[in-house]
Amino acid sequence: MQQESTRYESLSEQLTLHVGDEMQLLERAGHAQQPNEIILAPVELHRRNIQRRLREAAKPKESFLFDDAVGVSRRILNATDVPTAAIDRIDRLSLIRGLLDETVSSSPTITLPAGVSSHDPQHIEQIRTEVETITNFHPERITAWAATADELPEPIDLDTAEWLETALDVERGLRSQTEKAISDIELTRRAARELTATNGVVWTGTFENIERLSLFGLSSISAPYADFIHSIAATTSIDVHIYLRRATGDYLSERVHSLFDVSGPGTVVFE
Amino acid sequence: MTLQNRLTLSKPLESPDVPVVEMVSATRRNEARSVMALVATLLNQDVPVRDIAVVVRDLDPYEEPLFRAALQHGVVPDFWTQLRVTQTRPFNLLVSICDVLAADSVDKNTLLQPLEHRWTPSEASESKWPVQQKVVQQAVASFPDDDRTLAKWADWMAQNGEIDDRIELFVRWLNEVPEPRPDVISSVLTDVIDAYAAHGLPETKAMDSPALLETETDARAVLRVETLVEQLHHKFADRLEEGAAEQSWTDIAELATLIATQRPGRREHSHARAVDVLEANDVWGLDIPYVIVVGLTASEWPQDTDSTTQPEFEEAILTGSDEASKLAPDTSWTDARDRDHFVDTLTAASSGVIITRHEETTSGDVVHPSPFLEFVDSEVVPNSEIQQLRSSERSVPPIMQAMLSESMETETDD
Repeated sequence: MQQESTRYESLSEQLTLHVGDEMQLLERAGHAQQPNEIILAPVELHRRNIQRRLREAAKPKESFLFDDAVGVSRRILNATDVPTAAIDRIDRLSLIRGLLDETVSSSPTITLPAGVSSHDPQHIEQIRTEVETITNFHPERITAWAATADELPEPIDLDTAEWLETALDVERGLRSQTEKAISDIELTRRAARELTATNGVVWTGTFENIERLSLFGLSSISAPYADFIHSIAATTSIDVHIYLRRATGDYLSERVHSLFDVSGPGTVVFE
Repeated sequence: MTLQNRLTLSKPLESPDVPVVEMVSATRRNEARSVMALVATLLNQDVPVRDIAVVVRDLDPYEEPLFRAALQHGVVPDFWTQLRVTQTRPFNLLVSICDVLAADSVDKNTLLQPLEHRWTPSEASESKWPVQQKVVQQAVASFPDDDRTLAKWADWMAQNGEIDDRIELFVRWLNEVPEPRPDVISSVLTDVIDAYAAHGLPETKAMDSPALLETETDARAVLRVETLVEQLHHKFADRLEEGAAEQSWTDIAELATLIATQRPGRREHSHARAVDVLEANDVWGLDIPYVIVVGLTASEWPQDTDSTTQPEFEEAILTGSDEASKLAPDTSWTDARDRDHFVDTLTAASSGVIITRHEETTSGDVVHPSPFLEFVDSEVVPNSEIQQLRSSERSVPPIMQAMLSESMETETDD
């Protein structure tokens, strides 16, 4: 617990949490040569809604850069030599189908939980995505998953542990099949690792004029989002504001500190 | 402490600080009619169309009844939804062509399907193309029933003097399409879609209602299918390289359907004269005087999500004691995400909120009100006033009249 607060404390000066109040941004809109604030809104329509509000209020939008985490990650990675090509869901399903094909001897073994058919790549991909959303494949969260599963009553403890194995097997299998990133989310981890490795130098090179980043519209903070935001706060001097929503905001405000309590955001168990 | 925090996910919601009224109708269909009658009445009272938004939790069960009701009341609705590409004519034109080209031999129905979807050659004169439905139907009726190769169909037509020239031209065109290499599919299918835009789309427009809703859908579909052909080209090339696909039109049609059903269509810009109908998450951040929140029933708000993790595990993450605190909780495991959407929908309203719901299914089963209603102080519009609203009188229910005049006053105060 002691350690947890220290890790978060170091970020807390830069990080501000809000519940509601998102349209404060109308006050910050101004004329600018270059954007000085990143408006990070994962839902495309939310970005459009903000732009509509700016138009209705006759405010300029040049001081804002609108994007999502994957977009910002691509910008960061494009400034380095890290590749940004990623496969999509269609490709993943097709590769998973191949991985499960028992007739191909080179296929790595994938542990399937009871009741999941090897002919159901959609279901298997859903397991992989859910584990990614909850853990971002970070070693400390993988350990936390196992420890949490262990506390559950039988047989749920074993089922839950098995789930994790399946997801890791699939992710590992996919990685063995392609040079490209397994998903767009992988790009946010690569960007987080780049930020950490260069101690924020790539950020400054890419976003020279940015002084502030504001995250909008989320009802949950996924592990990939937490790690991405964490890496920015930890390696740059910009102000990071998270605008939470009205019904989940109080709850998530209490959870943010423990979600940020990992070392090396963007690190994965596979390397 | 963490358990305490877990409980904040179900704490009471705040009622909005603008007036709220509630309209209860018998069935979903009636509810939709009440909603559109209200929209028509507000427009009649000179409320600008941009000052009204209709918000639903999920468009699927409401799009069709709201659309019908809108037509009845002379309202143009603009559904902010993903275009269902696979149900559009340009997409089906594309797939029907792949189907003909895929088969070794085809029957007359499959053969002529692309013409039903208004296939047109690249250089076509406006007066002759596309071939009228009636002509295609007559051809289907008069052609032989057996399956034949394209070459055989072409020969048969050449020998049969009574075949419409345009149908003959179409079959010759099919017969000359090269083997499906990625660059070939791109050029062939792009020509097909371009010709559709030039000749098929005007046909839709000519037959459309004055609001041109079909035309808008058709035009969106053309754009979407153009992008899809581009994606198809690249993806097919990748697949061939990996050995995951064969150079066949069957694989191309399959891939096209896969792309169309898995990549969400782009949402469209709002139509200047139409009333916006949005899903609840999409209204976040907006400021709209009158927000009509539809479908406040127990089955719509909240709705269960299809997560596949064990509920006990989810609960441990949500509570977040010890190690579990590092794991990211998903609030849609509870009704909290729906609460967010509901509260932000109410927050978007700057003059008034109109909540609607229905009480029974078409088969007469009881539909309970949403539990979220207990957090909202609303005045219920008497049934007789809803009837009046839906009648030709179109009079605004008196409690709503107050809402209207209040917003007019605010405007003058400014």
